[in-house]
Amino acid sequence: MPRYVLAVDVGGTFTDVICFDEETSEATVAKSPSTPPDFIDGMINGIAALNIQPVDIKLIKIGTTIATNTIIMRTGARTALVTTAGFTDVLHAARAARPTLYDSDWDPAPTLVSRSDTHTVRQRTTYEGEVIEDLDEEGLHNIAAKLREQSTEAIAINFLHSYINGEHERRARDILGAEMPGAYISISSDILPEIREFERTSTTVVNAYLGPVLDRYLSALSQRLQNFGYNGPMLITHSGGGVMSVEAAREIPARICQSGPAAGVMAGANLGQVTNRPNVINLDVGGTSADVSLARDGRPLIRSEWNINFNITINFPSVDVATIGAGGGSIARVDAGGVLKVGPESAGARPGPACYRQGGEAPTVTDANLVLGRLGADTKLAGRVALGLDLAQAAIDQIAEPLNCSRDEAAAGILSIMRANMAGAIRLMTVRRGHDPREFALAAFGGAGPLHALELAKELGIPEVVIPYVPGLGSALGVLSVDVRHDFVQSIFATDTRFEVSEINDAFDDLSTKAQARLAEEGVPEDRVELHRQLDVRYYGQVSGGLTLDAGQDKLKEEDIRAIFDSFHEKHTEEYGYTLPADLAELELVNARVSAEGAQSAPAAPVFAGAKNGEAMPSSTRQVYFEPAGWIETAVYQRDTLPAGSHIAGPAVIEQLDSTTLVIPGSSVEVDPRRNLICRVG
Amino acid sequence: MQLNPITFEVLRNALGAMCDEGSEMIARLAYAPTISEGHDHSCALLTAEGRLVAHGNRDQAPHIGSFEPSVKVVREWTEDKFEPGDVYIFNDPYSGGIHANDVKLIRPIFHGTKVIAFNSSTGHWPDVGGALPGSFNPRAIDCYSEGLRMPPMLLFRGDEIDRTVMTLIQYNMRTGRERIADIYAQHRAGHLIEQRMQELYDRHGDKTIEALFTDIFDYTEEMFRKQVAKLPDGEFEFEDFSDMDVMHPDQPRIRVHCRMKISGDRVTFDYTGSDPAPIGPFGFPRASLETAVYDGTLHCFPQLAPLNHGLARSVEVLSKPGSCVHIEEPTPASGYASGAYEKVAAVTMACWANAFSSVNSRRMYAAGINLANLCIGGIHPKTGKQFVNYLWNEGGQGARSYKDGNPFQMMIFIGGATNQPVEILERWYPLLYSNCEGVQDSCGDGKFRGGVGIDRSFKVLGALTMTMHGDRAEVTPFGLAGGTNGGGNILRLRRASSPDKEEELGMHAMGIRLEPGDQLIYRSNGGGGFGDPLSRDPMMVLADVEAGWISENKAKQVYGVVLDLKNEAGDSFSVDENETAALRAKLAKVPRSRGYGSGEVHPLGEMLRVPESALVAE
Repeated sequence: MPRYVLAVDVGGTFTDVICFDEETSEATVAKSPSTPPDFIDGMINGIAALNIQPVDIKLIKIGTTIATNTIIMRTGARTALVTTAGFTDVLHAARAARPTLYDSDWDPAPTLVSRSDTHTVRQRTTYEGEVIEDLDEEGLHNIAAKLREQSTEAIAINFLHSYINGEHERRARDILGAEMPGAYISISSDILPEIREFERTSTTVVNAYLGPVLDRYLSALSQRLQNFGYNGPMLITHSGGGVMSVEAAREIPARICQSGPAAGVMAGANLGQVTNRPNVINLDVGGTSADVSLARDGRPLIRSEWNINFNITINFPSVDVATIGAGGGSIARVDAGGVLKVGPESAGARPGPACYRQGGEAPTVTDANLVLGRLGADTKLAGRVALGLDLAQAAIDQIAEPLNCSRDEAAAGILSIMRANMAGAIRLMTVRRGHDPREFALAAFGGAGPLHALELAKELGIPEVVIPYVPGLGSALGVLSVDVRHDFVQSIFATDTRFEVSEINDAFDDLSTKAQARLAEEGVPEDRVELHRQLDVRYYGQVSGGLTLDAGQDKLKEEDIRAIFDSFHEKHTEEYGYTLPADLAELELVNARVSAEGAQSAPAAPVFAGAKNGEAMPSSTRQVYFEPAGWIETAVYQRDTLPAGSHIAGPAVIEQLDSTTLVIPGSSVEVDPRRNLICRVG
Repeated sequence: MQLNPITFEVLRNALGAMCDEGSEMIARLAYAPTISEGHDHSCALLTAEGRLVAHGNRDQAPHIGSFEPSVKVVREWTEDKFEPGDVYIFNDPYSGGIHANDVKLIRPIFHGTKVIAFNSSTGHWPDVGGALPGSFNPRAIDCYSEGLRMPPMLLFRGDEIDRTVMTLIQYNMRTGRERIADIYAQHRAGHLIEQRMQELYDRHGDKTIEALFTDIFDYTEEMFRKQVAKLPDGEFEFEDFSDMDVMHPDQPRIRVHCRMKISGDRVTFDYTGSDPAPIGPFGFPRASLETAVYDGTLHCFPQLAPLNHGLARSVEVLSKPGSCVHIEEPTPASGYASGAYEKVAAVTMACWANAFSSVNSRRMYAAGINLANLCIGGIHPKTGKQFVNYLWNEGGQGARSYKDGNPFQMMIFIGGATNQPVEILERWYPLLYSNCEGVQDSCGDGKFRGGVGIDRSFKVLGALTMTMHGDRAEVTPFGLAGGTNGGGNILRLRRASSPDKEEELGMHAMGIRLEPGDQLIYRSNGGGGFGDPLSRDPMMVLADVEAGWISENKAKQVYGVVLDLKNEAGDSFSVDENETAALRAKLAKVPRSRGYGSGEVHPLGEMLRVPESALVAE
């Protein structure tokens, strides 16, 4: 019987693989250099490095950045947009906004479809779905002729108000499809049946733009895995914090754009679950940026919209991740007014921090950590040669001088600004949305997350920090933990005084049928399917805003819907501190949502094998700088020697191949049975 | 600086973040689409002395400079006697700046029994009463027909709303009931800022926070003065015009004139050469003049954003009371954003362009789209309910000295705002759109051209009333350094009863009755150009024609670029190099028409001299 579930995270530099043995719950890891542009060799190499028989593999789950990279590098298919006559520039105008107030030098990112490749056809539907101008089929044939001539590979179709009546879009798809066999066609009423023409068009365009690329990638990948000897199922991680089948990924590739961060969030949620901490703030700090996200009651926060560039929107439900330009490579500088700034500019991997000995001279966060003894000079970051303390010191001195302070103070200053930036991002994610950070644990991932996590937790009043055994493999851990999940949404137009119970039930039935069919296609046994039904409600008159409320599992009766409306007022007070006076408080139903989850295999709670019993023994000691105490002689431990059940008191440094954990004075650490670190912040 | 530079940076960011948070909350909770979809709102923090410290990153520039005078009015009104949970509502244009639609809630922020700061938020309410739906009144001769003017009124006492004040407001506005939701949105934002400030005080102590405020001002002033000192000393002059004083019998243009003086690290903007206040709308009060000067200045010193008192106290602004840029009661104010504000911001930037021309070639910007407020109101034929709908357009950005301006941008002062989705508008209002499309050839031309404007024409589906309050149909966004002025704002009416006839409504159309099926042709400005159009790279002209931004005809007439058609479909071309060279040589001998209209060259703009070597494409 196949017994291994593989989680693969294909990153820009490395491909990580975690192999989970369903029989013993033991996990092993492998790492292999990534192989752009197709990344497939690196993945096969990583799997091969596990030294297991392909026939013993039960399931492979994959997180990949290929969709994101395709958009960032603009290497997608030549895509045409077909839209309602008169509305050529819905996509190009976007929402006409700029990200900052006083920047006339800002430019929107180039659109994925050029203006010349935007075609219009006569047709018109009203907001109530009534057709007031028929589809000009001859016009479509003319467009097809032009697209054939240009060897267009992909077509996005968006007509006004198609979220309520998609008939013209479907007809246009059939006509263009017949004229252009082989073209990848996405229609907005399929991809995202939601009101707001720009957001729907943009999402559909992203989908079409990615379609041919993902199609080729997934075919090649399946083929290579077959050659390798694996014929079993393959699942792809998507932005909503779930996995989906290869077939689904081919249909809606725009859903996998944020699969990396989504997997990271799921890793934190899962780590929280297995350590009995259902409320978790995730912090993943890498070389150039830090990702912050949240899981509450074991579920990640989801938002309905995100932008890959400021003006390129993908409106699929997506895990809510805030990314800030604060990482190990973030550069510190003193501006003309004598103020210290850290990031968002980064030294990246090349030249990297000054201490990497690759020619970088600018002081970075990593240099500050090295100067303060938090990183050891013999640490080999990402497999590089030992770090250059002298170079780091020289770099920090560049800012100590204009700041008129000591080298230690300057380095500590860099770290405190870095910390403030991260704390700001966490406050936005928690306090701003009514969550108290003190009710959460902080889960730290990435090479630099565990280095900053305890101090950050202390600043925010977070009582505990949880660090997985392989913090550098956060995304792969997340991929391992996710289930099949799909989100479906349908716009509804009703208010609390005017609603049809049957219309709402019909919408839920439609969405549930779609959801169940999809999960069945993906091989999820019926008894493992879980459906969550929700309604978006807001005050009638509010254009945005509102709350998403649970709609239970059963067919709704009129009194159920009234109860949902009633709960709005209570929830609104909870979230915003008030409700409107009764005569203003008419409510509107906006969307029905169904999310479907199903596990194909047993939940994975990996145990990393290693030393079993005994006390934690330091490997050495060194001087480490802490605020406000200054330099303290500090014990250094090796992570792979720490036995489950052992304790460590701060101050301490815990080193491992891909990360370093800094335990501040007054804090303590317990190694749990799965060898996670549970840190009590003091 | 009193704080160490590290603490300074950490705490300064915290102040900005709390304003962002408050500002976002307003957008989320408000009913007014101007706020929730259009993001015409702001949230700021001021010291206990009423000095501006921080505001939201995407707030609206015209609001921001009005916070200091508004808080001053409230403090004088109350003689600085406040209780915790007091919130004042205020919108007087003459003492506070801006117009009546921008309604402020002002809250003293308490720590214990002491006022430690003020919060002021602004939301652009879709209607504040007055003669016409939307409260814009393009034919007003005084402020009394522009909506309810509110002195500081105590709206919340102990965070409980005052029913009398609330009802007074409700009675005096169209859709007044919905404004209660907007009041609550702004109130909650102030409440949140108070919580955040109290936390900050508890953590860091009053000494640190007070030192922080002082440091922020000193820091900004020092940064600004250092950069001004690097510019050459001298006087730089620029002027711009409004299309007309619509209520004057001769409807003359209205001149806005600035003489900027730089001497060492000091800068003075002398606007005393501007015309007297018009009879009709256009002008703005003194506080808005200052705001517009800060706005134009920050576009040339973007690293100094966000605006705070440190910059305000470093810039000297001169004006004549009673002039068009310093109006007094009762001169109308509601149309200031499409009028004086836009002109002063653009003129200020043109003055800076002159100062920067020999030092930094990347701080020169031609003028861009001018706001054209379109308000429609009446009874919705489907719901039977009264509605007011306030529309605006995005349009062309002015060319930069190194790059084309972008199409489809919001006005320069309202970068955080957005357009309104057609699908949302059609769902809420009896409108049926026919266009969302760039206006070909509407750009001003140059070595770098402006962005094009947009066509958002629509039919009305009910018997409605319409008012337009805009500008720059005739005096269009100016070009610089030989670039031409952009295309005009357009509003025309095609009646369902006579569909072959287009009636020019212009920028001051008031109270026009519309019948079901009538079509409004609503198009916005393209931005001005930069540099001589004949020096534009022919390949860029070719790309513009292929993308549809400009016509083949314009390529030839204005840019001297002759194109040969390559395909049957008529959308692929190549440059005829010989013919182009010959045509350009011929056109170079013909002087361009000087003036202020579309396609002409602004006489003062043309005098901006930039070394050709500096004009390098990015």
